[in-house]
Amino acid sequence: MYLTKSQISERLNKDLFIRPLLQDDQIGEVSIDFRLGYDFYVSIQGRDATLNASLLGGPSPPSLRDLFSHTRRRPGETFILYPNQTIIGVTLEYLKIPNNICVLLSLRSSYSRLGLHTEALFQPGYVGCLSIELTNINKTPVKITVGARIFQGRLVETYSMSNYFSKKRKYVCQTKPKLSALHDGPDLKILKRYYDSIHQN
Amino acid sequence: MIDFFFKNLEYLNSTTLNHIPFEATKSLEIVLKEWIPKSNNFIIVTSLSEKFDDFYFDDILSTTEDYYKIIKSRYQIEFNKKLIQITLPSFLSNDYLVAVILYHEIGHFVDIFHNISSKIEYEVSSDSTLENKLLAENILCPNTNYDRHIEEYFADVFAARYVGDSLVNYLMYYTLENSGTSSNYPSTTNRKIMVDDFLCGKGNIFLDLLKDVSFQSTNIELLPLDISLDISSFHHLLPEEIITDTDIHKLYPAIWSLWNNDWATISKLNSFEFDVDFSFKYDIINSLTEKTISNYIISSTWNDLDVSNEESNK
Repeated sequence: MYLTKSQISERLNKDLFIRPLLQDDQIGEVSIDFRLGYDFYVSIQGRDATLNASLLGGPSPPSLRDLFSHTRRRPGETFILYPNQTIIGVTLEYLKIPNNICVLLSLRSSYSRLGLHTEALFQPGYVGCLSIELTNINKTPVKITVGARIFQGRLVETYSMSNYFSKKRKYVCQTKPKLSALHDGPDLKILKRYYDSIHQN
Repeated sequence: MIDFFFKNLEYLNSTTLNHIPFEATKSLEIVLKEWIPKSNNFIIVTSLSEKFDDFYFDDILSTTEDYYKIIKSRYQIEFNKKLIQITLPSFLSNDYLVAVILYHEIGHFVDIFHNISSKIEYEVSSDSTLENKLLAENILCPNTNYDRHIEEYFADVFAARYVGDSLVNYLMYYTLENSGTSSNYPSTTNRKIMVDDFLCGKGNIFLDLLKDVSFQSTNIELLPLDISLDISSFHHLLPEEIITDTDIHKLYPAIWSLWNNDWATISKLNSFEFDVDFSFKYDIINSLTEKTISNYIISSTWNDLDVSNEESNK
């Protein structure tokens, strides 16, 4: 069930924190508008032919750093997103989400209509700016304004409380975009060993 | 002259502009407003260096008048603004614990702008009694560059006005409490003594002279500021909501204190079910500091520009 405007307002600054909340009307009937932050990783053409999301066929672990370039802007400045380009960014707002609320992030319809796409889920107890991956699936470049209300988050109450810090997290108090840490997890390492065990013989 | 233009361009090209650590340089702009008349005539620019210890201020673009005179007479071009160039290591551009060094670097600019160290050096070199006293008290050392040592002492004391002993404590850590003196730098232990004397209001012959000359040159008393700031929001993993420009200065000693504190309370408050290590603390402190400054800059600018606020205030 989505939290309504009055429910969001009631929890604001009690167990839900949004800093900064520049305008009160960012809180809508069943969602909160979030702004585009000012730090970006931009996908670029590098020397490697692929973005290697495995632990096979390259240096270990593969470097994503060569395929993304960091850049920053100031609010009010613009940023051009080219067709099929993905940028990794964060919302301008820093959030602390209660332990029984998760946030579903999507684009506001005005920006979806331009051919942009993003979608993300933030777990109960998350703290930090919301990490976004924004892709232009249109055929023409789209110029967007840093600081604009591009995203909307819907707050969903879960049936029970959970502890976000029951384990050490990859992304904590994040204020800048971070490149994917998929190579750091145990999953791919086990699969690599699985692969090696098959191909040893 | 060509070098002068290239140096300007280096700090203004898009590669540099796209990486400005504007949160870290905000505090310098505030300091500049306080100490430099018509500070709007200067722009603080930063260059990120790949060298690990490259913190420095280069005064060529901001204080060397000869270049501007030649350009004006030869090309009839007059520069409305000059660049204050500060270089910092790229990998430390978001390290707000180390950023206290920037206060020292801007101190060098204030010093050169008002000719403070050069006046002190003149007094020392023209008064052998004073010189001998400074040597006897181990504040200056024989066979060293007095001018450079005086400049370093001034910049340290200047930084301490805003960030307390954070800078010298960092230097003590960085130099492994080095008590050696080089021709251009006083020993770190001497620098710490000077700052400690300044902060606790204990006069010494050099400090008294430095404060006198500084006041005569700027009409501002060089005294420590109140550095207390509550950053309890950090304990809850939230950026602090600061309300004044000077709160930015106070953040730096506050985060040093947090860095040195035991994090047992913070772990308990946030129900961490794992041990807090060095890198976890480091990332959280730097992220929250950056967001605290950034939120302050954005919110205050927004409130100044928001038309609806103007309407509601009518």
